[in-house]
Amino acid sequence: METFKIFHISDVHIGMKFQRYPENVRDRLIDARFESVRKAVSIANEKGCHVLAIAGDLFESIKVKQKDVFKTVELLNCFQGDHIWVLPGNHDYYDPSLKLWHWFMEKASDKITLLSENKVYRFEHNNQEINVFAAPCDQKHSSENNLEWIKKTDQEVSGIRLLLAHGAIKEISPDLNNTYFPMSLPELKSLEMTACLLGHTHVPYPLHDRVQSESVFNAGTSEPDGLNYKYEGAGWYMEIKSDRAVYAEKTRTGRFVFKDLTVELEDEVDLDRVREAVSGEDGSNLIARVNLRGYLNQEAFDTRFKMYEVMKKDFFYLEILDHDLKPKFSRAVIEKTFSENSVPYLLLEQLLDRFDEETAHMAFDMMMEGMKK
Amino acid sequence: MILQLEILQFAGIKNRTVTFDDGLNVIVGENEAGKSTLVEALYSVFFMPVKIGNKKVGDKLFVESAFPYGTSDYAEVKVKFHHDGDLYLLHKLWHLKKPLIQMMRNNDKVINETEIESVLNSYLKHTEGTYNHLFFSKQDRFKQIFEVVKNHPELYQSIGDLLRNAGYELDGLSVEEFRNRLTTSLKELDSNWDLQHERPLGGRGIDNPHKRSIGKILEAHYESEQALADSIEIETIEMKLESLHKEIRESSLAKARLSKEIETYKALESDIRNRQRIEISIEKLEDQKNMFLEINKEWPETLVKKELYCEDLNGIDGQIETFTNQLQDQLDYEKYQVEMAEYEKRRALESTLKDIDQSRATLEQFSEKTLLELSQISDAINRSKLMIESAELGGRVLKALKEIVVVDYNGKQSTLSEGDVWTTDAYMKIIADNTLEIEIKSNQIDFDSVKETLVENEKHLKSRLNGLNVQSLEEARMNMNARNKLDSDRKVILKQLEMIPEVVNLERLMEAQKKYDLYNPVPKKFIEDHLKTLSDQKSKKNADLLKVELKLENWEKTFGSHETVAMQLGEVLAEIKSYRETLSTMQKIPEHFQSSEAFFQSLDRLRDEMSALQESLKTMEIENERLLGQLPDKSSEELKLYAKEKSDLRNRYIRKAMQIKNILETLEGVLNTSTPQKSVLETEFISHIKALTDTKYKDLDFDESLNLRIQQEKKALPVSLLSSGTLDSIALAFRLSVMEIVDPEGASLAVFDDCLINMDKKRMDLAIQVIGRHAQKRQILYMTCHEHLALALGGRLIKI
Repeated sequence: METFKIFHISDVHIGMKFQRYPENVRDRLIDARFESVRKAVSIANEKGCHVLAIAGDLFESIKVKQKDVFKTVELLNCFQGDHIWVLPGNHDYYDPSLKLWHWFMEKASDKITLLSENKVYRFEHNNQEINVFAAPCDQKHSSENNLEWIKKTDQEVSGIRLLLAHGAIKEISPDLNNTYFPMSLPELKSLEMTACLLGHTHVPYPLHDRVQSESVFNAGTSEPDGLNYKYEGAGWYMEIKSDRAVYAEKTRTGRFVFKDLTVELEDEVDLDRVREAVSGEDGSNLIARVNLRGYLNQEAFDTRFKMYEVMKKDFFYLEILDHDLKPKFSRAVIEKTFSENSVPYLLLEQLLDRFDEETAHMAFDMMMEGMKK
Repeated sequence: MILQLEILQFAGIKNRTVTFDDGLNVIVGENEAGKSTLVEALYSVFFMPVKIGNKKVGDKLFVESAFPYGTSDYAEVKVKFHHDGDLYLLHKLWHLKKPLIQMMRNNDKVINETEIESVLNSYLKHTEGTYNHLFFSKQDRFKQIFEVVKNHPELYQSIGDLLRNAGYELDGLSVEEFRNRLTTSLKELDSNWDLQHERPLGGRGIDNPHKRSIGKILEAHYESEQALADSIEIETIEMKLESLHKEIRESSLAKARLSKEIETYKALESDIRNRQRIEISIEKLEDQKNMFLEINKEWPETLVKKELYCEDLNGIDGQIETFTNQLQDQLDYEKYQVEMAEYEKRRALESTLKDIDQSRATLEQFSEKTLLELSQISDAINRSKLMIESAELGGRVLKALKEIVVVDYNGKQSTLSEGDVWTTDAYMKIIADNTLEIEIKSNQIDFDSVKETLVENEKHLKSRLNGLNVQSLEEARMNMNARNKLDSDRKVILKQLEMIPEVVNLERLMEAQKKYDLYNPVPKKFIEDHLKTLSDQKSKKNADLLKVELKLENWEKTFGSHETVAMQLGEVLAEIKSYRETLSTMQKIPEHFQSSEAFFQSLDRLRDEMSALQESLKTMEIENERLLGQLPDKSSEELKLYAKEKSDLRNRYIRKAMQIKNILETLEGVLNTSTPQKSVLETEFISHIKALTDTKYKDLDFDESLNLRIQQEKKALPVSLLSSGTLDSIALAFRLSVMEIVDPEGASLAVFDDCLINMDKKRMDLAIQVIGRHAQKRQILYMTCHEHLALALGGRLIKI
């Protein structure tokens, strides 16, 4: 049998808003999600994939704009392989009353199959039976997964057995409140699938970039969606050999990389430290929040904003939090600046004794600000 | 800020325009280049009134210095400046006869001079003295600042106040300003926020938020809370939608089930409906069959019945005729009886009438007329008597030897003796003796006439009564009454007779009497009762007969004949058979339905359920649309992240606010425990002098008379021993200190006329630094004839 090739992505979340970002950044992030679909389709075409599998949350919500749905379908329709399997996730769950999937199917080509029912969808490839066990979400939250019906189904279904499911995997990203269709690895393995193509957790699994002899795959997201996502956007390119052995390779589909960093500084705003923290990343695609901590000498502190401006040039978007960055401050500064036992002197001394350096320094800054006038 | 000074004509300068920048402007030029004139022109344009005379010393001095000597009789200057966001142009022309003052605001003319004055007061802020001696420091009087102040009462007073306003050792810090800054910063952060309870003031959350004075903490808090609330709202809507979708799915499944069931039932429905129709038809045919069977049986029976009824009726009619005859006989007899009774009564009445006529004939003369006549005579008698009786006469025997006799008109005699009294009616005759008779008549009546009438009437009455053969008028009246009674009785009898018919045929009556002598009558009631019974029987029989006849008539009308009924019965039986055969080929109602009604009820129920379900689904779909419409275009996850960021920001603000609060509290503690030492002016002055002398002089103060006291190495140092340069530093420090205090905003222009020239290099550098620092917030004009100093000062260089 010819190797059966699948490109597996999930959690594209078309329709995310990114409201915390400035408008220009926001627009790029919104566009990037469509781009990731285009990229996934393009990779799948290049690699000659027979199937593009989307394991849930293609859309951010059940209320995505029609034009976004149509745009997404148009991108998917460019797939040159045999089939596109689209599984409704918990964000874009399936309900016949929702317009989302009606719009989607209105524009979908014949290649697209919406896996909206708990059932085995049967396909054929080179006389080989492909059985897709679909476990779509029919609501946003559920304390139970949708695997029960599979457990009750005849396990002797022959051919390639693929599971498409969407939900939390206890061992990868625990679902503390048990509200996202929780599954477990042993449970998935017990289904004896050739491969389980999963979505939801936003944590790629397995963690290695190339794997063999694994049967559970989670694609993460095709395009990172926030500072709490530390991975790059990717999907799994999978080859299922004639002996049903699965070879999988993580393939990048995303553009942007998010970094939420904490950088310790001392005396100076050391740009290299920040650069080190994001080493290896293409700054033009880098969105970062850098939390600067530590103590700077006064001059460095006063001129830090200039350094920030320099720093920002290295990133597509950089957000600097420097509320934990303080200028160095000591009794010597007080003594040098004020007469002994003068009111400012006594005030700063007492603030140092009773509170902390930060409070004393704040008072000092405010005094100096006044005196400069 | 002053932008431009245009000297059209002032002292030795003509048509020269100088522009100024904000901050430090250094005007450099050789001696006699006109630097001082420029300062004078600037000063004059603001403070010198245009209306000048030639009497006041001040005016004379101005004319001498400002008007070009011997060539012109006016001075004219324009100055352009910014104030409160507006651009002003002040134009002054000093002339003894035609002075001019004009002001333009943003190219609009300010007409009113009071307004011009108001603008200038608002712009200049300080008095002319303050400008003249402090802000505009002329070179020749620079060192004599203290003397100048002392000689200017107003200045001396205000600077004395500054000195007396004792403060703390603040090392240049303005406590008030610092406190204000702290308070303002704290307010910016915690306005309407309860730091102690870490909540909005008054616990006013986003449901009832503060709308004014929202500090940064509250703003971040509200943003966080709002984002959180929005995320919860989204989640709530999402949950509702999930639940609704579940409900819709379940309802859709139920609908599909129902639909299937209805379809199954619908396949049966037609057969069951036809079956029901056929069964009804069969039922009707059965009724027809029974009817035909019954008619078929009844028809001959009814014919027999009709015959019998007719016979019975004939018998009854015979009996009725017999009894009717008997009744007629009885009626005839009763008629005879009546006629006979009347005849006998009439005979009796006629007999009585005869008797009355006989009695009356004896009383014929006692008519009413007769009685009237008798009564009239009697009345006349009575009238005469009454007249006599009314004319009464009386007397007394006064003296009589013997009895006397008195006779009245009737001849009645009364014997009277002496002393007796008597009376008579109208007439008396006294007879004493045979010799004496006295006749006395009343003169009240004509006694004789009356007496005569009386007597005649009495005679007439007697005669009439005798003629009637009665004794008295009463008797005559009684007879008349008897006669009248007889008349009345007669009338009654006659009337009775009128009412009793006379026998028409007495002969026939007599014959009847003979006939009925032996007649034995049957009671009439008996006959009538029999007749009634017979009549009832006849009615009933007639009714029965009518019924039977109607039935037969109806049958005949409907069916024609008995034979036709038999034929129709055959047809009905055939039809029933045909229907039954059709029924056997049709689907039957499922066994669990006890009847077709139960089946149709069940089908109707299913259809009702389907209708209700469709309605419910429709409602749910509307609700779905509504909820989807309500669902904001954001995700709850994003909002939660945003809420967290805002919450972190709020916490940072809270921390900062607490720090400021701690600073404020500590500051108050320090102020409470520190001893006030220096005045604000002294503190400012010392701060400046330290800066200008590199702290060589830091222990200075003033006595109450504004005399400067200097301590060096704990020894008092006479001011006179100070170098010229130090004195310039002190003068500069003092001016800058006062400026800093009276004009902390730096709104007023300061002019220095080469005041650093006596200082050594180090001091000069320090002074340049201090002036430079002041120039950061104040416009300063520095005049110098030393180019190196001008360059060292920096700022805008203006060469003249």
